[in-house]
Amino acid sequence: MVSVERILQLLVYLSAIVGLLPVLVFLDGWVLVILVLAFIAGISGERQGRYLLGDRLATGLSIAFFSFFLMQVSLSNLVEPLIQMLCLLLAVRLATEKSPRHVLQLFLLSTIVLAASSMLTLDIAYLFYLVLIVLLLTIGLVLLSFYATEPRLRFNRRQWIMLLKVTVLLPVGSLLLMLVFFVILPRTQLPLWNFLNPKPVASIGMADQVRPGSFAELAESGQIAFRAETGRLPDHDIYWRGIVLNRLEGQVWKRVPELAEEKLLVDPAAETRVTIYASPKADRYLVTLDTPRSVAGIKHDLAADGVVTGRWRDAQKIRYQVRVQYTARSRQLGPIDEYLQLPEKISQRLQAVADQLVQEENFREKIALLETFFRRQQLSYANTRLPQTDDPVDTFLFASKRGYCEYFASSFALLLRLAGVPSRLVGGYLSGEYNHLGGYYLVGENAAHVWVEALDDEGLWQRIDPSRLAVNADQALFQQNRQALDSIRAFNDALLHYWSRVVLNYDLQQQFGTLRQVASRVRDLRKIDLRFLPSLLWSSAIFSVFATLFLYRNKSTRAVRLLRAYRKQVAKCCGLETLPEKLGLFELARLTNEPLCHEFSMIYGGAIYRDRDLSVAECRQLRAIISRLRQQRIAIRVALSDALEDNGSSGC
Amino acid sequence: MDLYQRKQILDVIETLSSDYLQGKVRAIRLAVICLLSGGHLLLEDIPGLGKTSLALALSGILDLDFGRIQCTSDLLPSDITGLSIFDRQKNQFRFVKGPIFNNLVLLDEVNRAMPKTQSALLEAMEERRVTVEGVTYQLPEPFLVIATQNPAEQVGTFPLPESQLDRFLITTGIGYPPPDLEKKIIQRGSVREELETIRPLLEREKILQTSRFIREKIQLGSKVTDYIYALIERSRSHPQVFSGISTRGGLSLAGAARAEAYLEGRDYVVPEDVQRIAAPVVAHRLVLRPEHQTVRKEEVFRSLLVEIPVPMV
Repeated sequence: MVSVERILQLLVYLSAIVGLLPVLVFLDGWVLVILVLAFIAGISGERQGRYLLGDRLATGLSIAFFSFFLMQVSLSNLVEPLIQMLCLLLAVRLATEKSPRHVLQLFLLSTIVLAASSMLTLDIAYLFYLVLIVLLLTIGLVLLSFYATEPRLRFNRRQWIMLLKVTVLLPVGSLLLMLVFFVILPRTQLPLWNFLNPKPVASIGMADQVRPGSFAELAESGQIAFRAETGRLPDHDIYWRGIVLNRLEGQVWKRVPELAEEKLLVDPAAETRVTIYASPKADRYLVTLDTPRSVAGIKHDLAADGVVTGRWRDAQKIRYQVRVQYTARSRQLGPIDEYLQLPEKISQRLQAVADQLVQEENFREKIALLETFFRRQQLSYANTRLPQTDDPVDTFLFASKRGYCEYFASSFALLLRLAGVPSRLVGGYLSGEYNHLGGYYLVGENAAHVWVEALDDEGLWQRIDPSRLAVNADQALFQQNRQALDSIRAFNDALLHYWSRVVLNYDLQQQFGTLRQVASRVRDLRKIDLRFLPSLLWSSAIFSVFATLFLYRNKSTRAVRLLRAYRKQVAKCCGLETLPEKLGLFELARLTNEPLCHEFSMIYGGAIYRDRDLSVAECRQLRAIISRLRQQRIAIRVALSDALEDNGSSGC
Repeated sequence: MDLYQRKQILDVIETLSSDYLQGKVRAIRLAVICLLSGGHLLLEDIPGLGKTSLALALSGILDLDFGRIQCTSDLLPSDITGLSIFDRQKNQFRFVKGPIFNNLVLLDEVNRAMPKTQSALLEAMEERRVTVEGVTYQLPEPFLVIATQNPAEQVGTFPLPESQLDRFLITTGIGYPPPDLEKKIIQRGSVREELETIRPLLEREKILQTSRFIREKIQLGSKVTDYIYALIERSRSHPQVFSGISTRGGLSLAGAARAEAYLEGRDYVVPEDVQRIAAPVVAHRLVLRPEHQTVRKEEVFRSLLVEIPVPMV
């Protein structure tokens, strides 16, 4: 028969030792002496049932140690006094009576000391200590719960063994799970429980075909295409190259990889390096900055025309480095006939324009004339209410005069080909938002873009972006990018980026690098001027006040919480990270065409838009809808379109 | 939820769009919204897309009197309002009412009339009464003017000034029907004769009651009011806009949104109603800065609309 108290005391000492072991070598001699004395005082106190250190004395001592720590500490010397103070506090607790509360404190302190030791040293032994302390702690906590209810409890041998088996099951199970997750988690792109949901469906984005005239509307999605780490580049001239479409079949532009025979004229001075972090995507084309010279960090093929195809596992986030020739042009080596191939049917109006172009002497004049023609046509950039016709180029240029980049680029390229200038389309992304905090470009799927490359008289491929000839080009193409990322969003996104960089894109070396960086930064704290300290304290105080107010305000109404939960749930069901901010409730219900969403918007909107609060019964109904949504899969076309815009649809 | 007469109104739209005027649901719906919220409609499109058919069909199915005015540059105000002629037998002047004294008036090619006539017309539209030689005559209720103009024509026209445009509740185009439908229309022939045999589905009195119901019973909450205000406020400070949406524009938007909510089967307005109806109601009221004249007003308005957050809490 061994008492629970005995074993608990043993566990306390053991966990204290495990916590202290890694830091022992860093402690001053006198701290070591105090620790040893504390152990002796504690053990002898238990033997005799009388402790040298009373509660008041212990508190006084703790305060003394703490003030000693405060005196010692300076920005140049922060970590070691901190650990010494923690050890001294541990010593005080070791020497006093082991009441349940003190035992809990002891467990906590030993864990903190062990954690703090990682600031001084980090080797593989740490893992061993960590496992050990987890074991000791879980068993100790279970015993503590027994001890707290009945201090004089005793078990016989058989009972002990059974108890041990059950209690060990907890930490061992969690450690095993931890091992599994250690392998799995860094490799998952989405939370594990997301595997039930459908994969994100891309609606707008880079496509491997360009086929203007087949869609009446272009859906917008808020998805992020990729982030690209690089320095700030000239603002209006950032073209992310994805795919080159060189064959025109009917109205469809396609890619024939065999055509690419050219050579990049390299200028070593104008080289930029870009690291790209891309979201999982369906196609195999790697986006690079125009024009890539070489790619590293992923299995890939770099075609001569600057199109990179890669190989990676499905649904994997990918990362690769690109060496970019920012201003370079490539020289055509192969035959050019293919770049002049035309569809069978050309409208007369189009042919008439081409005939004028042919009469111009050189490349430069042809381009100038064509640009003038585009400007004169007063084309506007739009992605709603597009005509669906068999001859989109003709309709776009002469009748409807509205379209998005694909219309502009394919019309321009077709006219160039008609005029005898070899040309092709390049698909990719335009510009992006620069995040100063993280030092990268954030490029959304909405920035997908198509432009033209034409072969000039010297045999060099020149980039031309006909979308800039739209009457509203400035707003349509650059509106998003002009408004600077506000700092909170930038901070948030930078955080997200680093999280996926360091944690999700699992790379042990990099993780250790980050740890080392943190350690060296802590040491570098001495470089911080002390004068900043008060202002830092003030700003953090103010920040915390605002944060509390913000949280309080946000928690104020039931409606807000319900709405947030609902939007989050719908976003999850659709496989999106978040729903677009501007998407209203009823619009969302219409887009998803999901009865539950209709029901939610009717109940919720019925209250909110009638200027009354939600009743308790309504709240219950709404909650029920949200939880039922959890089992649903919803396909959603995230577009802010207009029901009344479309002639064919009956809006009622 | 059962809204007063909603089923019948939807029936009217459905019958018109499926039996008589295929491919014009949007225009029909907008015309009904105009009728119900007591505004007037301006159709901007080229001739031959069914503007007249639309007006004829609407007047037939709703049992409304129909009057048509073909505007030309020598059209006089009295040609519209009517004039007093001398009755020899009774030895006194007798007022002969002009075509404006109808429930539904089609003003064809309104931009061909000279400004004097235009303003007389628009005065009547706004005031709903006509004063000739000191006597005021009330126009019949309901009163809906469908004006048309051809945006492509420039020579010999007097474009409606902004202040006059502001008086139309809705401006819209009709647009070509989808190709398949157009082929079918060509094959089947004009429906003009069928339109004369159209049976009324709704009485005049019912329309008046419905529009009163919409005005009084469809609720416009403070959230949506704020949203409408944000919209017109933003239009006034938009960099491309010289003068933004007037208070009348805001009023019209609210009225049209009420009718839209009614058609959607709700007795309260939601921001999406405003969004759906906003472009046809408001876009033509914007006056752009001279340097941005080439940009379409609708595009500017749309860019403005997507900037404003939808109130949800």
